[in-house]
Amino acid sequence: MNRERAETFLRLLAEAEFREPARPPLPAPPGRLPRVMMSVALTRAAWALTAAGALDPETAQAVLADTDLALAARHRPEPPEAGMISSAGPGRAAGSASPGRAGGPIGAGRLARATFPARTGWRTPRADVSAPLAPAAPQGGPDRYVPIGRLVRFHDETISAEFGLMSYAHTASGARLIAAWHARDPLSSGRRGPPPVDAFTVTDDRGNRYALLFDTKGRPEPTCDLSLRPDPPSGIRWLDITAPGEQAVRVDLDRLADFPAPEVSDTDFSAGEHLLNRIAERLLTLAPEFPAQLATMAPVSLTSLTAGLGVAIAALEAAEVLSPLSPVPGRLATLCASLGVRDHGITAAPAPDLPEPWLSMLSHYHRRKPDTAPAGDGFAAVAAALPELDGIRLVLLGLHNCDGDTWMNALTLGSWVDRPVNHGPLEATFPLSIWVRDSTGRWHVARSTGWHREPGETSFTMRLTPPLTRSCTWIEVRATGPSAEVRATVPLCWAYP
Amino acid sequence: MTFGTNGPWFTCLPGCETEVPCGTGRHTVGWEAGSLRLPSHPDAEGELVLAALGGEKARCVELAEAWARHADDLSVLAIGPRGPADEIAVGWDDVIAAAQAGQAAGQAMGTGTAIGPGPAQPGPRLASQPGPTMARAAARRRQMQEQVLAAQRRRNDILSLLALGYGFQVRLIGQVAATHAAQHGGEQVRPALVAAITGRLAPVAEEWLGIDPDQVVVSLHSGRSWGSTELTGYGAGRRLRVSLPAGWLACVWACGLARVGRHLIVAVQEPGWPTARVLGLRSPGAPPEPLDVHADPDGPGNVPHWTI
Repeated sequence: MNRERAETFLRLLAEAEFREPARPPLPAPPGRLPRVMMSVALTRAAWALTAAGALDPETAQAVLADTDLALAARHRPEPPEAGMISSAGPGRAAGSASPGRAGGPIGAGRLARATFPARTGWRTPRADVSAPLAPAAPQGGPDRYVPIGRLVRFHDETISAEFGLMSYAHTASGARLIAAWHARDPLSSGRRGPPPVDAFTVTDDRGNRYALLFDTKGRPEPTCDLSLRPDPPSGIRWLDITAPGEQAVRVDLDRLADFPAPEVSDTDFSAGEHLLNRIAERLLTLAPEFPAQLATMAPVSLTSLTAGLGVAIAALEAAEVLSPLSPVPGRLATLCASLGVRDHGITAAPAPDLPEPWLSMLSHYHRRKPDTAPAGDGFAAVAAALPELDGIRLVLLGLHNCDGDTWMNALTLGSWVDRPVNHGPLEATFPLSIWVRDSTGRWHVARSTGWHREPGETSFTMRLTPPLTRSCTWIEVRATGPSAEVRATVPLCWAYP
Repeated sequence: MTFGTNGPWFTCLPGCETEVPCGTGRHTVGWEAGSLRLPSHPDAEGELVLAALGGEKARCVELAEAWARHADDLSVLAIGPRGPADEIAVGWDDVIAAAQAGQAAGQAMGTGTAIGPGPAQPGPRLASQPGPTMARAAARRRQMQEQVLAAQRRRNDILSLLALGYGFQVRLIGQVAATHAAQHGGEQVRPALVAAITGRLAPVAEEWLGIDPDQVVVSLHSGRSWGSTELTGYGAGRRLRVSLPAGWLACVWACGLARVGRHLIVAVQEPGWPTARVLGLRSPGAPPEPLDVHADPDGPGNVPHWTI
């Protein structure tokens, strides 16, 4: 990795902005000054270099802010959130006002925005990438993960609800049951809010009583945490959960997760390749949103994700985090061609040897029946703590199908959890690529959709594309980080409301 | 033969002046021999003391402070002009509008001022919320306020310096480049210096050779010689590879000497005004020739024009 070359590349790209012919300003409402624009190529290159760790976000932000002010000072149009590096990646530029350019909100004045970064000196300190990683799990913590697979029902005159208990997790942040839940009005079958879990009684094998707290923790609606208060002692053997008017449901906490030991292996991906692979995954998850185009092989409009990819690849090569001989840019070009994505700017020749998971998803899309057999609602008890990967420990805590989608619930522990949140959403800062191979051999890519940060850990839910079917009896989860990969085979036993 | 200059970087630059709105009138601000001068404020230090006691600070004095604050700021190279044709259209109206917008933003954040961090606004404290959480939130809010206001102050500084006009802009660029050249900047500053030289050399090279500016490749020269030039490849693969020291920006480019006649000037041997001896290249790879160059002492001082 060559940080100096990375920064030089970005600064020279910014210099090229000034040599482009001046473009007419975009129309602006009366009383407002014209919009100013910065090229998508520049913002993409900045994003790629920071995402690959070749450039610290503060430096990239400073370069963009200088360019923003320099363009504004020359009567050029204004970029959106100039100077702010979004780790959300290329997709965050959706809605560009014109192809290949990042449009922005109209400001009060071309020079009035306070996006120029504050610096005590010219340069902000770089992140210490060599800093030792924090422990993957709280030291001496009571970490415990148990698959459950029980259903707790509740009925009264106004609500009929079920909690599918997928797993029990006890970490330094406390003990909770991870559940898929469903509630409806018995008279109208309309959906309802969560049932009154504070009326449930919970006792353990030692006679301790607990209250339940309902919390979605930023997850999609049908998933929740039922936290136990007070925090139970470690080593309890079971919990009895009793909803008002219902029989107690015993939750066995001595049950061991029964799956083979995960396999860990080194990967030989460079930081740039890892980033490009994640962009490919993003493309594969977005593609189903264009079923008509996929069916007819018509061009898919993913410009917001793919514009400037060629420059981003050049930036990664300049920073020496991507070898000019790497096959990944060529694979990405093939993938774009297969999905009908154009204007990506990748100059590498398309490579025929696509990874098996990509081929699996492409063949699924091109069979033109991605949605012909939606999975029925249900959940599978899962509790699998995977070995640490690049400072992250991933814990799988349940799968559920809802409304034709499959969701995988998880928890992560490790140093990355405590990184500043202003560097972008978890989806972009989460450094693992997660794929799932089902018992029929089909591959599914996981994309995080909702998360909740707590000190030392993050709860989040991933959506699998395409969804799993209920006939699936096991899955192999493959999590890949910048330096290693872990594979874990997890049996699935589905339960249905 | 040594290729360093025998005097300060600005020896080939005449003084220059402009007028700025200050208080209710317009005052002259000048630059002479590397320093900003405020003839209308003979006791600027005394005015600063009064300002610290609550008096209003004159814009001229603020400008002098901004000049000093940014005398080694590499952002000046990224934002400032690349050449006489690169017009920066920032006027005092823009500076005032930006300052007013910043003041409004400061008031919206609860500080009531655009240029100071202001008091922390802890907000109401709820009995149900734990103290440490509130303290953290207040600290975070205070930090954000300080960052925004510092950014606003910095932006206002830069805009004010740009509003002084091209003559002052190139002199500040020269000052920044000379500062970093003297410090033999390392990895931390090399990217900015390479980009700054590239951005200013490329249009000159286009006039000199007719080469596409995108085909100019610059590296930072750190030896005792003036550097090197080499023309390689052809067609789309043609490249003009130039290695120059950071001081070239100050001693040559900022003094308006980048191209004189048909020569690319790479160093100044005997600096002076309005006559100097420089080293010029007639073509890439050719040995540098000593050239006696002359500027019109009665010409516009802001943008010196040199002839052989």
